[in-house]
Amino acid sequence: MFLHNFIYELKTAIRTKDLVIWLIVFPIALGAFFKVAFHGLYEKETLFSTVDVAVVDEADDSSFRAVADNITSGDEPLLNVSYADREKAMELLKNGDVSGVIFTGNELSLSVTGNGLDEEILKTFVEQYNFRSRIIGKSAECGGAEAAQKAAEALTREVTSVERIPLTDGNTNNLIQYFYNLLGMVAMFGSTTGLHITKVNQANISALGARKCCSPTPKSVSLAASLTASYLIQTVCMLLSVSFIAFILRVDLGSSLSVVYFTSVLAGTVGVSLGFFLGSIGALSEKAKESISVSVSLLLCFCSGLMIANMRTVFDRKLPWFNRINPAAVISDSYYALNIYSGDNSRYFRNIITMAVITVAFALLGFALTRRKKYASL
Amino acid sequence: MQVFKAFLKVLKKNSITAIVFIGVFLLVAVMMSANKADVGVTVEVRMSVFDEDGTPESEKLTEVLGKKFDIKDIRNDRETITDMLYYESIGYALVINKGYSEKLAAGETDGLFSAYHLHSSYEEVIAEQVVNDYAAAVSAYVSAGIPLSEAIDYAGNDLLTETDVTIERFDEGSKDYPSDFAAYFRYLPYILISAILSALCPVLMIMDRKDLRYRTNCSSIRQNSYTLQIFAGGAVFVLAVWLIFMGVGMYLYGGMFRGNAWTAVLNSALFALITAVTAVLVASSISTQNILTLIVQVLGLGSSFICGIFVPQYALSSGVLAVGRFFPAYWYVKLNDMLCGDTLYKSDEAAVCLLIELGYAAALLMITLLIRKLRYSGAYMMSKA
Repeated sequence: MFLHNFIYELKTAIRTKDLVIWLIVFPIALGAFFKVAFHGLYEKETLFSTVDVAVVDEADDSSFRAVADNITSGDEPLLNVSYADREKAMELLKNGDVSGVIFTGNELSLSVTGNGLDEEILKTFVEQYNFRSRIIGKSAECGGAEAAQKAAEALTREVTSVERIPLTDGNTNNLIQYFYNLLGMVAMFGSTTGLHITKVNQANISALGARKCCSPTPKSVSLAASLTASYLIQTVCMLLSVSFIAFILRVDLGSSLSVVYFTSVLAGTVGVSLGFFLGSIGALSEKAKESISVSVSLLLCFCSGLMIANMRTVFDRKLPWFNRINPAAVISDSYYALNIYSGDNSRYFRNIITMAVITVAFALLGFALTRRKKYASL
Repeated sequence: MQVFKAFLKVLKKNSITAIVFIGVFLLVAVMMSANKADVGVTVEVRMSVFDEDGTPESEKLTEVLGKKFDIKDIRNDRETITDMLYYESIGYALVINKGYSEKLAAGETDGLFSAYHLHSSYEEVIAEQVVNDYAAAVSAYVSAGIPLSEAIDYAGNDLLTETDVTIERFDEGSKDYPSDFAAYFRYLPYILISAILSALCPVLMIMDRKDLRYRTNCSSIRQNSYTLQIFAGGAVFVLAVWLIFMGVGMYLYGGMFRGNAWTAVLNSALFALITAVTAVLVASSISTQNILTLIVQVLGLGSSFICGIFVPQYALSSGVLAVGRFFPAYWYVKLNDMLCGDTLYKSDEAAVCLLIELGYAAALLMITLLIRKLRYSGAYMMSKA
């Protein structure tokens, strides 16, 4: 009986073309948008790159020029210096061609238009330059010319006081998290297939539901067959989404692809179970249930950082427990843990267990709520 | 006005769907703007310091760094530090190594600190430079024969001496429309697209259902009159939604809008108009809820990412912006950035943005009228029956 129902549920689900198309087209379209939007963004916004600056050298300061020549050489210099008169330099600043204008004199001064990181780099450079001349001056005040000489010599030595401790071998491009969240969203929108189960089993929503309620097939068997078929359909959608992102868009998901596939399959079941549960609550109309399902999925995805990546850390600080139970956050965190903590799988396993528990809990709740709905009670 | 009245009746019947969507997106809008400080453009170095030396010298350095940068107090475990660095909640995590004060007294600078490294970010470059400068300064003072305690004080004072930085303002655009508040309006296109399309299109799709259309086509009402009444119904709904969002905006603003904020209100009104026409266009072109969800999500999220709503326009590449120009949201965000002073305000460019948005609304209206005329004419419907 189960197998018979399962095959027909599968056929019905596949014939609901718009549903399947939506689940497959959605990640393809949005993934392509992400790929276009994030092209070169990590290198431009997060990683350091040379800062353009104009210098107004009215004092004709040869020592500054020597420092500037030194700092603008190399493969990735700190600054890219253009010398200009005051008027031209301000024009460059106004047009956004440079991030700031440095004026030479007794001490360097700086003009900028904002307070971003490029401006902070320039400020640090100017402070560093002024700072060194102050050290020599103060040493001379305290210990005379000899002390100043010793201080100047000490300042010529290259200082590397910081030893870096690498944290991961994974992909550190944090824009990948948008793709993790996209996969999370595809999984969460699996709730529409979960919702479809209640639609075809609830007598007050569809004619099919009404017929099923009258049929001798036990409701638990019919629901189990529908749920299994939905899991299978969602699994195919998740596998296609991961394949598209990994092979067509060539996004480095940062870890073993087979484990990513496994995670995605489990993530898909979370979404279906969520939809099944939401659809089983109350006797609302199909449209009302659909709107609730889409809204809940979107809200959970928003909280996990789909629209604004840092939302996840905002919740980590303000409502840390929420990230542990938000299915979208758990799904994206699983991919993140696989990528960043490749040597230590404890966090990944914690997320996998959470997903499994959520899937089972929502499915059981869905069964419990649906099985009591007889034709007469609706 | 029979069609208009019928539209309002259908809308009333589907009010739960509309309320759910508008409520959720209102919540999202408020959360987005409320967390601007957490998610916006970084303007200062945020770092954490872990003092393993625990001496007065290391404490003095922590104090100096605290005055110079925004020090975040986080748990000293590798997982927390990795998460904070990855999600850019901090830009640098410094460890003052054990034996720091002894090495400093000996004039040594190597191995004083360790820093957890994820990627070479701007904040890492700046913070590392400052830490190295501090070590170099103390070492130079010690080399000049100055006692360590004084050398530390001098180095700290030198590091904290502010340099002469002038912030040039080439316009006064942001006076009545601060950048923090402008975030609410910046996210509004996504919210309007998602909320209005999700709530309005199902109603419009019911109005365009075949049985209803057959009856209407048999009646004496002209096609254009029918469509215009549908537009009027949609406009009333969109106006109500827009007023709700403006009301929340006023609450966040702290009173009646002033100066440039009114231009932002006009900007959002035009965008709401575009969204209203888009809703009629989308509803006229599709027939199922699932396809509607697909279009809403792809249009809402996709245009937000490439037009500068979720990622600032200055950060997007020229290629992305070239694609973004084809979406009205691009012009909306461009004007919003000018109004709040994020980019240089030019009145002629601002007017161009508004006119382009108006042009989009007019063009979409024409296309919608054409599609509806073709699609819902009696002959076409009979051929599809």
